[in-house]
Parts: sequence; C-alpha cells; structure tokens
Amino acid sequence: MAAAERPGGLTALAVINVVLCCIFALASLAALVTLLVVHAVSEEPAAGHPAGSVVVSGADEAPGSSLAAPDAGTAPDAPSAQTPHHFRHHRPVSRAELGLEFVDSVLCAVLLAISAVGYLRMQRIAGRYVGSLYGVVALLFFAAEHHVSHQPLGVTGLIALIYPVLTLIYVNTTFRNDLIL
Amino acid sequence: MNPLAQVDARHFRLLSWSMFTGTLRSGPGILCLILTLLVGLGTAAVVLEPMDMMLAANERDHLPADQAGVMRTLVQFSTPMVSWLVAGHLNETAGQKLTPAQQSDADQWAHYLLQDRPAPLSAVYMILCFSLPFLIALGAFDQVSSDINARRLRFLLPRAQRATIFLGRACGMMLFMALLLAVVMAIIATYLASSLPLYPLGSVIGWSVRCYLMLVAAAIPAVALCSLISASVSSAFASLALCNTVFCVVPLAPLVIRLASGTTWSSLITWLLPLPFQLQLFHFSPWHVAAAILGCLAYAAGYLLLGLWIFGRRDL
Repeated sequence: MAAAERPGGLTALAVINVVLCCIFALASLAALVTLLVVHAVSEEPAAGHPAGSVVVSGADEAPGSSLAAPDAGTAPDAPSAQTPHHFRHHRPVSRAELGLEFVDSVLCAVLLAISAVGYLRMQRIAGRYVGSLYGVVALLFFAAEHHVSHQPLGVTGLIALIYPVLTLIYVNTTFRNDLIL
Repeated sequence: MNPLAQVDARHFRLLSWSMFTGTLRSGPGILCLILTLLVGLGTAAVVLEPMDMMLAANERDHLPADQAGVMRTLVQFSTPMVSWLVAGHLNETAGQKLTPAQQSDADQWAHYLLQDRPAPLSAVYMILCFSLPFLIALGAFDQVSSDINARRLRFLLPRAQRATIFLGRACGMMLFMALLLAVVMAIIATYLASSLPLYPLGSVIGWSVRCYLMLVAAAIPAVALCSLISASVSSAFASLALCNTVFCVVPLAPLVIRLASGTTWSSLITWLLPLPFQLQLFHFSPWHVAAAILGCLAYAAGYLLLGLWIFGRRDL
C-alpha cells in the first residue's frame, strides 16, 4: 500500500531524477571522451593554444581568466592575440575543468539514481539523506567549477541551481515526514 | 438562492490552505514550480544574453566595459520593435489601420517600457506574462476533476457547501501561483540589480513590485478558467488537454481565420480570454492599467461564477 500513500510530488521528483540521471550519465561519457582526446593530443599542442587544453565554443570569456591547465606553462592571454577574429569566441577548457565535470556528472548520476529509488520506496536513507547529499554535492561542484573556470555567475548558472536547491528544500521540509521507511 | 451566500469563511480558509499545501506536494504542482522557474530564468537569460555578448566582445577588443552604452544601443535597437508590437496590438484591437494618434501612443508606450523603466525587466516580465497561462494550466488543471472522477468529493459534501469547495480550491491555487511568481520575480530582480547596476535599486524594486501585481492580475483569470474547465470535465487528463488547447487556440484562431478568409470579425474571438487586457497591464497610463486590472478581475469573476454554476449541478 506504500505506493498508494506516496505523494504525487515524490513520484514526480523520482521521474525528474531518472531523467536527470540519464543526462548526467551522457555528460560524464562526453567528458570522459573529451578527456581521452585531450590526453591523446596533449603531446602536440595546437598553435596558439596551451598544451592540455581543448577549445570549446563560448562567448563569455572572463577577463584574465586562466584558461589553460596550471601545468600548461603558457600565458593565458597569448591565444586571443594570435587567434583570427572569427575564432575569438572559442575558449580553451583545462583538464581540471574536464576532470571536475566528469567526477561531478558521475557522482550526480549515481546519487540521483539512488535517491530516485529512495523517493519511490519512501526511504529515509536512500530518499532523504541521499537526496540531500545530491543537493549539497551539486552545489559544491557548481561552486568548484566556477572557481576553476573563473566564469561569472550568469542566469544560466542560476538555472543549474534550481533543481539541487529545490531537492534540498523538498526532502527536508515538505516530504520530510513521508521519507521515513 | 445566492451560491456565494453559502460560502463558510472558516471552511473556505481551510480548503484554500489545504489546496495550497496539496499543490506544493503534488506532481503537477512540482512540475509547474520547476517549469515556471525555468521559463522565468530562461527568459531572463535570453534577454540578458545580447548584453553579455556585447560586453564580452568589448573586453576581447580591449574596449571599456561600458554597460550603460551597451544598454543604450540595445534599447535604441529594440524600441522600434516594441513600438511595432504594441502598434500591432492596437491595430488588431481596433480592426483598422493605425491613426497618427495611435502610432504616437505606441511610440510613447515603447519609450515608457524601455527607457523610463528598466528595459530588461520590462522584456522579461512581458514575455513571462504571455507564457503564464500555459504554466498555470500545468499546475491548476486538476482542481476538482480527479476528485469528481473518483467520487471523493462526496466525503466533503456533508461538511462543506459546493460553493465553498469550488471557490476555496480556486483561491488556494491562486495563492500558490502568487507565491511562485513572487519567488521567480524576486530572483530575476535580485540578479539584475546585482549584475547590472545601471538602474537605481528603487526603480528596479518599484517596477518589479508593480509588474508582480500586474502578473498576478493576469494569472487570476487563467486560474479561474482552469477551475471552470476542471469543474466541467471529470478526467484530469482531459482537463489538462482542454486548458492548454484553449490557451493555445484562442490567441491563434483569429490570425488563422484572418489569413484564410480575410475577415476582421475574427479578432472578437480573442475576447473569450482576457488577452486584450494583458498588454494593457503594461500601459504607461495608470487609467489603462486600472481598467485592465478590473477587466481581468471581471473575467475571473465570470469564469468562477460559470464554474460554480456547473459544479453546483454536477453529480459528485
């Protein structure tokens, strides 16, 4: 009878968790492939770009941002001086960012999957505690990624915070007394 | 007998609060919450993106990051577009070509929205206002439908009148939407005030509060229409489909009919919803705004009375 007593909101959260889990799994795969590619080409850096970095599209380059890996040994401002104008919107992403992205995606995917099962079974540990852990981990990684990439917090960043914050609020207030099994 | 006279204030408060908390815990409520936050912040991202791109381009070209200059350029670029948009609204309402007075009115309106008030906020809130009915339909489609279908309301009927149940639930849903809009608009206004210090804080807060009241005025008839549809249909899914169909078809039907047959009477269809009042909520004249708010409330009262009439005669 547990399924009949489960609030519809918990089912909705579980479904959203599963969808996000799939997205994070794909993102971790993409980050892993990119890391492998970076590792393969790191011995021969492209002209104008530091070793151990990969170029991604993005128009929001921060001033003085350290775009290369710390061990790359190339001045960060050097690429933009040599790059043609139509390539100036591209910014190299360091290995540290890619590694962080990979760990973040894997960890979030696992936590989301466990908490989805916890929500459906209305369990305290798998639902409430792991759900809270996902919220905290997602917020910490968000802060770490912004610290590493030196990107300013934009509205897009706020959008990425919606679900972790809502999860923290919901599992610790609204559904606190439902996740008790 | 007057159905409103049957409303018991204590039961009304209880049912409103129960609907409010129930929506917060329900699947549609959570989806509505997440989607409204996503649409609100996504709209803000789309509106602020050109500004960020121009500032980033200035930085790359070693030009000073002149936010005011960039905003001036963007406002100059968008003023004719907004003027054309509101002129189109005036034209459609009148069903004839714009007079010079109407064109001047449209220009003044665009100037008011983009130059007298914080332009990014005006853009975000206007887009949010027009996407609001679809978001409301996601949360408010099942106020009584599934309870009618499952025959659960008969347990409430010995204790509360039908009018109290129907109006209490509609009021609870309106409270939910008002709170949700307050959260979304507070996030947007806080972000804009902190990241773009172009406008005085008082101006940002004042315009946000005023737009909040206008968006709540626009949301009330949408919730009331969802109540009406929910009371008319016994299936929650059918109610959702019908709500979204009405919110989608009514604004588009006049355009399609006009393109197909060239008739101008089709613009009368838009009066099925308070669409003609929605843009007027952002008018520079306080009298227009007051009339638009009264119009929205009149629509809401009409929908609720019709829904109450249907709900009062249903087999529960």
